Amino acid sequence: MSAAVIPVEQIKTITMSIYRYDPTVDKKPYMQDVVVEIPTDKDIMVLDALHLAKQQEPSLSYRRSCREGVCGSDGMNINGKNGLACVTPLSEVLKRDKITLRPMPGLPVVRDLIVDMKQFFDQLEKVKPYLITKSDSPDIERKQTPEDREELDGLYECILCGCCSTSCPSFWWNPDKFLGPAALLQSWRFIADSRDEATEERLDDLEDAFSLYRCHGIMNCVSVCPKGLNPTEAISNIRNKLLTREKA
Amino acid sequence: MFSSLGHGSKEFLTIRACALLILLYTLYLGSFVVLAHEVNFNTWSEFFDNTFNKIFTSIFFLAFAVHTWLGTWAVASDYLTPRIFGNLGRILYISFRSVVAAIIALVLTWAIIIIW
Repeated sequence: MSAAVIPVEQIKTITMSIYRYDPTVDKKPYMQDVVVEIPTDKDIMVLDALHLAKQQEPSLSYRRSCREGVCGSDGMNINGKNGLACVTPLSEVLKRDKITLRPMPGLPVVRDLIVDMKQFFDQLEKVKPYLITKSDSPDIERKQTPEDREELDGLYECILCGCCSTSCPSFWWNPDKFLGPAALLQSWRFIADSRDEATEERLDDLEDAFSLYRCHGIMNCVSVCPKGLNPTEAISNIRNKLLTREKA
Repeated sequence: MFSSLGHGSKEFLTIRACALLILLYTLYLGSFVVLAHEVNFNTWSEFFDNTFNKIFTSIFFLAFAVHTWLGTWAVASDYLTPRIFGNLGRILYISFRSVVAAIIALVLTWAIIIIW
């Protein structure tokens, strides 16, 4: 079966300005313009346009997997704002038929649009993003009331794409000391969990001047989160808990 | 209660308490200027002869000093770091902190001498 031919009148040419850097070849990064033809009868995503660009530039590198906003692999800087390429409609970001793609800021670039996420995951690890219990395990499972479970809405949905932390200036300046919005959202997710029994230890770990308190409420994290989550509110909740708790 | 808080929490509360004091004093002084029929040397002298005003003004300068010291520390530890400037970062940080400390000490001393 032959491939469907798109009528010429349903095709539009756009220019994709893409950050390129291959440390094994390039002395420094540069922006490359790639002209691609996209269909006009449907709205494709930025990731689809990247696939078209890659057909012309096979060496172009980027991460992607699920292509539906679940895996969090294709976080990148689209026209100056972080987002997931797979769920960002091209029509929303095209300006005069041009789009600019860069890697997420603040992390070392491995190649082209791929960044090294080690610092991001190191910070996540610090908040112990798993349930900690001390009491004996019940026979079947640790139960929650529907109300307790509701407390986790808006927290558990995080896919760890890194869009929020890499758009946070505080994380850019102190990525080794400030945990960043993604890790702090996860911290609150377990502090707020009625089954978790390590709240005091979790709060103790955040009492220093940097881990949590370096958040200046800039709210870039809220602005860019592709899942519509609110890390600033989570940070505020932890802060209130820190300031109002009575130590034993 | 305050003493049991960690370093970050103490600093967070202190910087905001100082900001509140600065705001209150600014409103207080502003209301004096607005409500006074005439603002001249005599009315200023009268204002600062009042003991309450002397104490409140001193508290304002103290709050200003603490707020400035903590606020500029946050700025310096964001921007003047070895991460950004390499070995020069530490020198820049110490130089900046020294200049800020000198300015705060000068302003505080001058203010206390003038007020009292």
